[in-house]
Amino acid sequence: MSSLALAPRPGSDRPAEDLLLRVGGLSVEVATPLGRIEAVRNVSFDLHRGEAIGLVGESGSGKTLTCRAVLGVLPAGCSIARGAIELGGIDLVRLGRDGWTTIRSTQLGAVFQDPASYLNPSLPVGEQLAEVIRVKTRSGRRAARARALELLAAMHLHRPRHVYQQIPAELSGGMLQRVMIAIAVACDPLLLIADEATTALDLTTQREVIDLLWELRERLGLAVLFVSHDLAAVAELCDQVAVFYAGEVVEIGATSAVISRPAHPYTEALLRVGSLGAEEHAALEVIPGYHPRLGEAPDGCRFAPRCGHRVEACASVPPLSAAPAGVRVRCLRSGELALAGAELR
Amino acid sequence: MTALLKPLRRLLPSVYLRVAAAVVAFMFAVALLGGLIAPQNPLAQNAAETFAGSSWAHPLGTDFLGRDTFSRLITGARPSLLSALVAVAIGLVGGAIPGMASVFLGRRAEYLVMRVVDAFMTIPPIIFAIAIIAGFGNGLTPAVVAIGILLVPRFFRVIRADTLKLASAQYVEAALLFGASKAYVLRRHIWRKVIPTLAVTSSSALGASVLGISSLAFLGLGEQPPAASWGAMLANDLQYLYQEPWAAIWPGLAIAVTVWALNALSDAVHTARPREVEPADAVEPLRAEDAAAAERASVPQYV
Amino acid sequence: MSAAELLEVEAIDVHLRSRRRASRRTSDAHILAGVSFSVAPGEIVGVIGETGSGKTTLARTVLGLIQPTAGAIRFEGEQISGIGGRRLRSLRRRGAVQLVFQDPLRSLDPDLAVAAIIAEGLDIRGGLDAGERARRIARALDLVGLDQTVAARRPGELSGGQRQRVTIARAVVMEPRLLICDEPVSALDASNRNRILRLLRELRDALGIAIVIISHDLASIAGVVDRVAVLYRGRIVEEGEAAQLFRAPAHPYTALLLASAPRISRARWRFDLAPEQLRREGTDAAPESGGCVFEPRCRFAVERCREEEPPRTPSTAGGTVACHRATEWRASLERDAAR
Repeated sequence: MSSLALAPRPGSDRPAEDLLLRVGGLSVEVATPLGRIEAVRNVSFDLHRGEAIGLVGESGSGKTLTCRAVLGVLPAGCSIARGAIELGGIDLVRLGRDGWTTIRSTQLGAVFQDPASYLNPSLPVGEQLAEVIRVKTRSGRRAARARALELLAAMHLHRPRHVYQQIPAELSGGMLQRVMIAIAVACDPLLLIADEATTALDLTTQREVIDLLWELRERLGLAVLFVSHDLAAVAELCDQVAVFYAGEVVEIGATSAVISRPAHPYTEALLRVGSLGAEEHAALEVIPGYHPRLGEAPDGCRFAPRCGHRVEACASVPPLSAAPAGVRVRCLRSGELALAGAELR
Repeated sequence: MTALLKPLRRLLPSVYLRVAAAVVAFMFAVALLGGLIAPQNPLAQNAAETFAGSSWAHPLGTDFLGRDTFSRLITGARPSLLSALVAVAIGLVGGAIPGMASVFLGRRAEYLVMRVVDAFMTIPPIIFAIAIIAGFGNGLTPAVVAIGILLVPRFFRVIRADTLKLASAQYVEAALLFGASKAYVLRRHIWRKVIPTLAVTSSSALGASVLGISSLAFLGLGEQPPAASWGAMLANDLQYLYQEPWAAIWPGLAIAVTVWALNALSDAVHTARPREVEPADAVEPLRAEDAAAAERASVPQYV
Repeated sequence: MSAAELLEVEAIDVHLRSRRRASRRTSDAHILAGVSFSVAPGEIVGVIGETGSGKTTLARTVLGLIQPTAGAIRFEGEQISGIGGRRLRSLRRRGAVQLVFQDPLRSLDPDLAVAAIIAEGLDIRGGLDAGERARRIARALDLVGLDQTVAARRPGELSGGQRQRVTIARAVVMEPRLLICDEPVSALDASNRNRILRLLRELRDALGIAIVIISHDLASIAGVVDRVAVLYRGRIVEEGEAAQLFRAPAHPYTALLLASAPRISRARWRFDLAPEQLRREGTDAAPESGGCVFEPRCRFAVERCREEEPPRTPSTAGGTVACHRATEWRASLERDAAR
């Protein structure tokens, strides 16, 4: 179930009606004491129905801000400077408050990192789930409760009736995250956004949650936008992956292609670093240098200072260019470098 | 000290705060200078000029004994304000120090101390003041001591709560793991961090103190006539309301304005105090470990 | 356990009077039960535990912040559990066992400069002149790879990785013989994580310090540990040499941990089982008291597992394992697969 048996699906293969989310040339600016700085620059990707895309990068790479922009919940001081975000044809950039209220939960669902902080600590979780159903689908109390129980069972929660009446403090992190997922998919949205949803969980629980998300994709045809700093977790779940660095997408394409044959030196570095040591003590790879903080990114190729393959030409901004297997990459030398890939499991 | 003043300076642009600070400063200056700046002798009685209206010699008129109201108002500031300061000092020393220490006592001693303080808080303040004065004689000193003692529980509880929170910090645990004694921890990590809270509590206690001392004076307890004090002036003026309807306004206003200004100042110090480092406040992209805190802070409940 | 062991933890039990624990674990009052392991000088041992395993309690018990209700802890042969007051303080001042906290942001006093933070243990111990103190601070900064200019800064001015190094420097300046690191790398991304792990390894190689790394992620510390102990619900379910454990885990829970980690691999190594083969569906039940703690989640559990808690026995991997079916569960999987 969790093997990557899906064939790679670069966007161009799919018919236009299937296009669910289009992000085009998105730039997000942040107000700082030094002025407005671009934290996300020129990000574009497409997501079709039932597809999953993963946004991967370190802290500060812009993946979270991109995700928040799609959700319409940018933090104070941040705003969309340029670009388009369209969900099923609806323009999300200019959407008003009423519009957001309509599409939230019904078209768009979201789960975040710390489920406990998104739930009322004194109410039973089942009731909170039922409330969402009641409000968004205008059903009666009994119908909502029945649907809530159904959902809890669908999330593979053991003894749904018992869980229904528990308050958040009585449930484990994994169980709470499943409840959040239930809330997110309660009204059959088309797109689920998971923002570091598995980061704080134990490994075994993380695995269960990823498996659950996979199952939801298959059963409900749910599209997923998965944001994480863990490339492996993203690779488990997503058909497409977009690698973020310093606010830009440096590589984007089918997961199997990106992992087995990375086109960008940063992707290769991520693979090297995240790779499990063998039985012998591994070299414990690191990427030299540090991810630039906001406003510190150099002109030209932003990864250049840490890149082992840089040349003089890298002082100019590389455009997104085509690489083999439908992958797009932001690197001038991509074609001539032989970068080492990895396997997933 | 500088740690406290810096954020205060940051707040100065607020007009409200500037006015409050100016008023407090002014009142204390008057209190300090007292008799030096009063135009007339506040004790000089003049039977011929009782209840006189405003004039150049007596800007606020005279009272029932012909004494200049304006001068009495000025000299009345000292017993009202400076003694309030002394009362606060008593409360601080008597409350804050045991408050901090109580956090480090054994469980039984802590329980006992808490119950003593609780018992204290049940005593009705005015009755207590009367009792003290009955025991030690009427005068400014017993009144000040009474108010000071009444302030002790407030300081105790607030400082204790603050210390409890600070004592549960991980860096305190780290120090304990190095074999630090509790005294060391207090000295090194806690007492400096308690100062902002002390400042806030002190300023609000000062307001309560001024009110308290004036109330006692109103009742005839505290500074005895013929010396001037705002509370006593108020009491007398109310007695002679028929003859001089407006007279009571001046001491009343003096008390009200001073207490307001002290409370406003207390509010401002509270807002200005250094807060815990909140990673979520930073607009910069955060390191992975701060990201979780930022998520909670910046994203609204999503339904 | 031989007398040459640096740290010996012997069959400790910890019951916590749960005052503020909103316990998701139901009736189990033992936070730790019968936990035994040892650390030899200069060894790096990984203690793996997920939420609810009791790993933090274990660290705190070894450091004397919690008293075990049974069992004993010995350091260099001397008993260190069950002492308090002045004796404990004097033992701590010796500084032979140091803790590296999980959260560098909260474990450093934000009002103190880095130099003061690092030297705190020395100051509490006392007896150093200013020159020697400065020398030791400089050396500690050097050892953890921080620039000397960091000494004058405050924690708020440093990055997360730098703060983590400061907590390590603070521990190392005491010249300890044992370092206990509570989730030192959980909050870091892969590159920074490896940096810190490398640092720990260098410290061991250069100074001979033994290190206990507590983590919830088995695979992330695989490159640095010599031996591993796996903690589940307060019991050690398996323990042994790292390489062996990874190759052939003897306990189903260890296998589940290894199978659950999503891993990209460039080496030929890959774990051959999938979590579905090891999990049992539909379980949130608490373990029966008296039985194996892993039983509710274990696909291979039989009646005996519910009734009798498995003792620790030598495993085929050369370590110890607490499982009634340790030698059979793999075979039964293969049998099922063959059908």
